[in-house]
Amino acid sequence: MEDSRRYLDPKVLNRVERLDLRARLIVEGFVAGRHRSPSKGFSVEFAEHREYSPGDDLRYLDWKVYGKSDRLYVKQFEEETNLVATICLDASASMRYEAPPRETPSKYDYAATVAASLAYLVVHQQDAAGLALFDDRVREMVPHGTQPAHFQRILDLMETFRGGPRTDMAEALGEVAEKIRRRGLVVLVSDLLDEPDRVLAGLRRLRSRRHDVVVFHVLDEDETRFPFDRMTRFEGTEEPSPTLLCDPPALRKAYLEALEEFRRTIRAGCLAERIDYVPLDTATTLDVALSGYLARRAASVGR
Amino acid sequence: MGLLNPALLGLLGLGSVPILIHLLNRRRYQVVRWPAMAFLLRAQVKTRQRLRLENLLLLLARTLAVLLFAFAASRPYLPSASAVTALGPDRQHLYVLVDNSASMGYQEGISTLLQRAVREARSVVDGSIRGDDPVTLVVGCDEMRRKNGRPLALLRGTRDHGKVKETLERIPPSDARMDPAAALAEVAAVAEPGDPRRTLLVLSDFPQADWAPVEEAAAGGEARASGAAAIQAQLLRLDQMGFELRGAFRFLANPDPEDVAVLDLSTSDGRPPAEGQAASFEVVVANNGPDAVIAEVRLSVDGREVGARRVSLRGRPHRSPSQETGRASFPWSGAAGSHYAEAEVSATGNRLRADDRRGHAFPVRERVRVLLVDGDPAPGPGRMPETLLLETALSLPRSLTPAETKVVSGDDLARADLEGFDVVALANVDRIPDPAWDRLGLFVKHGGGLLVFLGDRVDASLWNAAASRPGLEDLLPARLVPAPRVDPERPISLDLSPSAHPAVRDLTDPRHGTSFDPPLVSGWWPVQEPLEEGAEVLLRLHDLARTPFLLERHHGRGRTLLCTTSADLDWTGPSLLFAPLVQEAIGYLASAGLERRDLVVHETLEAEVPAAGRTFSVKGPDGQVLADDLEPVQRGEGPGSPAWSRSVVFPDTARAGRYVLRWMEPSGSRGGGLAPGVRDFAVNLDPREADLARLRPEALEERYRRRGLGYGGEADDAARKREREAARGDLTGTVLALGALMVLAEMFLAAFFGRKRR
Repeated sequence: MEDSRRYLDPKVLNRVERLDLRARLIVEGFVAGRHRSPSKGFSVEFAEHREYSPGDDLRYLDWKVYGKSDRLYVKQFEEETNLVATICLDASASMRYEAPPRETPSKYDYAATVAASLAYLVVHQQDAAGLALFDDRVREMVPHGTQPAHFQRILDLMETFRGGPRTDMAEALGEVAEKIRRRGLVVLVSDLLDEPDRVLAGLRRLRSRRHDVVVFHVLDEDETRFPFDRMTRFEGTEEPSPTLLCDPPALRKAYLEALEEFRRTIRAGCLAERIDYVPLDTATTLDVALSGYLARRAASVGR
Repeated sequence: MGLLNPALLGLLGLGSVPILIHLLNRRRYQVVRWPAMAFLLRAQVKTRQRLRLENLLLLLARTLAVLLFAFAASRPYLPSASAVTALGPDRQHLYVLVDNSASMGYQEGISTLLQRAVREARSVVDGSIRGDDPVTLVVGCDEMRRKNGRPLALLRGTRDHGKVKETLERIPPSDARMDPAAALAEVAAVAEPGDPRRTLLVLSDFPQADWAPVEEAAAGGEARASGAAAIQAQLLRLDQMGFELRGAFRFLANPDPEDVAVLDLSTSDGRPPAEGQAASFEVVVANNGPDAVIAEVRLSVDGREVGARRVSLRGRPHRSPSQETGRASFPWSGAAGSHYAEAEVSATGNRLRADDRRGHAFPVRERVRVLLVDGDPAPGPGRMPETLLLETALSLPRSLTPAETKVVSGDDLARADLEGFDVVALANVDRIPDPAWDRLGLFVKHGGGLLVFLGDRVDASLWNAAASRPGLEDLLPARLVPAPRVDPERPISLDLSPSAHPAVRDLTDPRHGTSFDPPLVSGWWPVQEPLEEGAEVLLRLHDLARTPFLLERHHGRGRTLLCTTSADLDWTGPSLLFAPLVQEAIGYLASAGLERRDLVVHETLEAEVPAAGRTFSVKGPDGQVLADDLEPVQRGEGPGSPAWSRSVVFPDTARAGRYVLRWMEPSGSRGGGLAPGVRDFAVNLDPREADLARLRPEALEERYRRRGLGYGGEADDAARKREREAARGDLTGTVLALGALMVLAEMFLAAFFGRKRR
């Protein structure tokens, strides 16, 4: 059990190359700490009847009830009321920031690991998980599913996909909102490096479809601390890509103030929309990510 | 402003280094592909102006720090008073004492020691003090202002260093001797009360005779010990006044000099010769060097060479208080009149010319004029006049003292004109009127000689009364007891033990001892003892009481010799000694009263001149007339009055050499008219200037260390020089401090601006 928990440490996890293995290790480690089995939880059970409407699938007519009442009812199973979690993973160029070799993973690897862990947890709780990879628009989507094969597909896609050089949160999230027909949980894992207005606009689109939204704001350790000491020429990762040659210590304070202001704006916007906002950086242990998910999940089941 | 190391000013170029580093850093950077550019750009816009100002301030601080350190390397200084007052460290008042005495004419290399001293002083003024530090310049022998050869401050507290250097160049060499104690006292006397710091610089050849420690100087006699003690006292006084004595003494000369000198020139018997009388001049020469030399000595009289001799001189041992001397004798005889003899020495390696010559001025008399006063001119049958033997002794053909005599009685003494005589001899005179005693007193006082023979006619009470007369208290050597002692049966011989007194030296010379049988004395007047103050016994009887026989006393310029026996044979048996004794006594008395014609440089020339003389002039060593128509100084009421005298006074004897006093006086010939009078004088160096043994630096250092004075020798000289250089308005420390301040400012600004490195 203790061995599993250590995989919550991003430094340790960074040494595990396979994403599926990482996900499993994280969840087991996390759950081990909570002393609960991931296999418990939800099963597919008959939940309730509803009156037949023309067009319903005749396979689900409950003939026993008809025999007793001469009225046509269809069965509704637990499966239909389980969580549908859509994991939206930002795959834009900004997520590919890689600092000089160090022990913690890159931003995308960290985000992907969070996303994979969540997907693993969802699937093993018999919930359906789907994936949307985006940059300035949704590039790839994996429909919701509960099977292991489905999960593997999610993982493969995350591992192989390379996003474009631009980010448009409003456009991408709007697309996701259009494409997800069933109300559920949308988990956004992104660095949110776009105009705050556009980020919040996208999130509002999701909320307007009555989705529960959790935002994992993933930034790199360097982005949150700005540790540079020597003269540096910074080049943007996304188009347009401005450059700036500066003495980083001179700008550190102002930079961090700007970043903090951005975070405050996003947090305030999320709060206003009743969106959970979980700030992460690549040095944060992953139990924080999972705790956030579980909290939302519990809230959605309780409704 | 000036720079002590101007060559290092090029280091100012290093001020471009921070700028270059700044520019290089902008080219040496890492590249980071940065996702959060928006925040960075926002930060950059927000801080652009502030960053520019911060960068500028940092660059300025760094550049200034480098510039200031580079500037400090060139050692800037500020000579102006206001800047020095504002910024500089302690200041000093430099007191320079330059010894320009005769011995500083010693030649080493191409320069004399005086020239070397001037150069050294200029070097100190130029390089070791601030540009506006005050300087006081004291010269050891003043030949410029008062011209009296004594120490004098030529400049006092002047800040015009150009004037100091100009005055240094004008210091003339002197023939005088510097009195070191007086020179140091002059320095102390002119010290200004408000001096921040007093630095002393003494430039001299430091003669051992003057500067040796007291205990060493004592070996050279009381005078030397006293002089050394006086110098010591002055140095202690200066030390107590706060004078910095470290490095004060600049030893300019080689401690082992090479020099020969004429120390003395005189007649062998110390008396001027008489006309036709053969005289012998004796020249004493000395060697100051460590090596033996052969010196050539030449003598000339009145410009005509008399002869030349070679004298072998041994080397002078190290630190010996006395020089190695040799003598050369020259016979000479000449006509009556004033004469000037000059001795000159030459040898190889002789580096001081001033002490190579010495002069001697002397008169040659025609004869000594003696007035014989016979106390018993008519002695009666079987007896001779009291003065007969005296007269006979003085008229002998080969008399040691050619003389012409005149005999008067005791009664005639009162009327006799004494001015025309050189010696008055009293022979058994019983009573002398008081006025005659007074005239005798004046006579002796003005240089005449009095020779007294007693006898049976002498009245002791009258004699003793005369000895007590006002003005005659030191005329007579002794008072007499009431009665003579006469014992023909038991005569006592005269004691002829060797004596150095010039009156009896030759008589008692053992080399002549067999020539004279001591006379036997049967009668004499015992004298009261103790003797009168200043009286001296020259000869005694050979008895247990050692009865005085011949006594001397000085009275003014003259002398009195008292012989306690008679001049005839009444009390003394015949002796071959009598004639030479009388001749020597007369010769001694005649020369002893002569005015001194050999002077030391700067000693006032004073000569008694005839009452009728006029138009007095003095010619100097170079032959030029130094004074024309000098006015004689008269003392007393007039000719014939008791205290009357007439003298010419001439103080300007700054140069060594022959001085000639000339005047005109009535010729005394039948035709009347004027005849020239002339008298020679010799002005010589102080013999101490010819003693060139020099103090060694380590001896002075040891002395002052023992007494706790600040002198520390050559090492402290160097340190002192550095300190002086550093004290010369040096801004190096200030500039360095500013540079350090800039470094601190840069560090503070960097921290304040948050330019910390992780």
